[in-house]
Amino acid sequence: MDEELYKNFSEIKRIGGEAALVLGLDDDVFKDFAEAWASLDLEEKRRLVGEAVSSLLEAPSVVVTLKRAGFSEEFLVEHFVEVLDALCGEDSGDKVVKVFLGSLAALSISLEVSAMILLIGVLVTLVAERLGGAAGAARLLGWCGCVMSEGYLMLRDTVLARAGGVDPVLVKRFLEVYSGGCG
Amino acid sequence: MTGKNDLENCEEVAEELKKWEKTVRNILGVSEEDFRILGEAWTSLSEEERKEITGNVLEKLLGSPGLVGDSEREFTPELLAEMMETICCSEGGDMAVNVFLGSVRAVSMGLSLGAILLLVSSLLSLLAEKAGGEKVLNIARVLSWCQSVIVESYLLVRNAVLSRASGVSPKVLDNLVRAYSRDLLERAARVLGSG
Repeated sequence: MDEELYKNFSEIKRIGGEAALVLGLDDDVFKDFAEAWASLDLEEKRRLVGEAVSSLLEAPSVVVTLKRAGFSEEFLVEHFVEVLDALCGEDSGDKVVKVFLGSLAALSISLEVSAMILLIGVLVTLVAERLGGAAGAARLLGWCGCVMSEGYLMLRDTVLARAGGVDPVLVKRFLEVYSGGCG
Repeated sequence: MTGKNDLENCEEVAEELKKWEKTVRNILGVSEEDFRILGEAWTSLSEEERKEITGNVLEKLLGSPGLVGDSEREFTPELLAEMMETICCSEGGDMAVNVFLGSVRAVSMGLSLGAILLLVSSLLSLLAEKAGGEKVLNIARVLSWCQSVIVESYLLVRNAVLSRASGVSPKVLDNLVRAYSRDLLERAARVLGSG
């Protein structure tokens, strides 16, 4: 048993559950989006994801590390088709964990969290525009953004605590004080 | 985004954010029309309806202690309405700076990044659904724009704090997060693969 992994899964499930409640996001919204995605054949999925990835790659400041790491556009398209397939698959099980794993996969290939959220934003709105299901698009977007960003911060806090010995609670307090100064 | 570590000069930060929002706007295909529709959706509501929306969102958010922490005392429907007014009724680059200022204000009150995103998402998705029809997608695009600006703003502030507090540079931290993500992915594949 991998305790650390299960702790991460359990934490992200809690956050995803709370976020869904706040947003009033029910299973039907996921189902609508999954049905829209499943109605596409592989070529259409590649074309749609390709459109989103291309627009992202036009912004060098967003994906500078990604380019430096040498990932091709074709690789990224395949990668994100797989991520969306996993997210939308009928047997995909827990959506929160799927989004978390998708985020891990994106982070592991040098995609910044802001680029990740942008990409999911582009994809959800493209799917909604082309295939309908717009009613839940905004809620789904909000939920993905929350799960991705909280998942990212969870990893980052763990890394920080190990690398610098910095307590995440202390960082949060510093952040509150510093933000007060910024405003 | 460049200059993540330097928040000494607020004008520079504002300029950076304006550049960032233009990039994001191009990627998402957000137009002035989308912003206008959001503004209209908000201003078309009566004061009662605005109070109802902000009150409902706040009530739900406060029911999520894991996301809100100890900030509940400072958040009121009136404050949310004020923030929405600022977001919905400003334009382009100024809107990015307003979203940034709204974010740092929320962070200073103890709200987590996820909670800030939830707050904005809940408010905008309710507005989108009230507006209905094609307008849902216009507002969804602005929502995605807001998320990107909020996350980038948050990282900007957080990186500045981290560099001071821990001495770990954001670049090193990104590399560590990447390596840790790969490690977790491999472990997840083993665990999930083994059922």
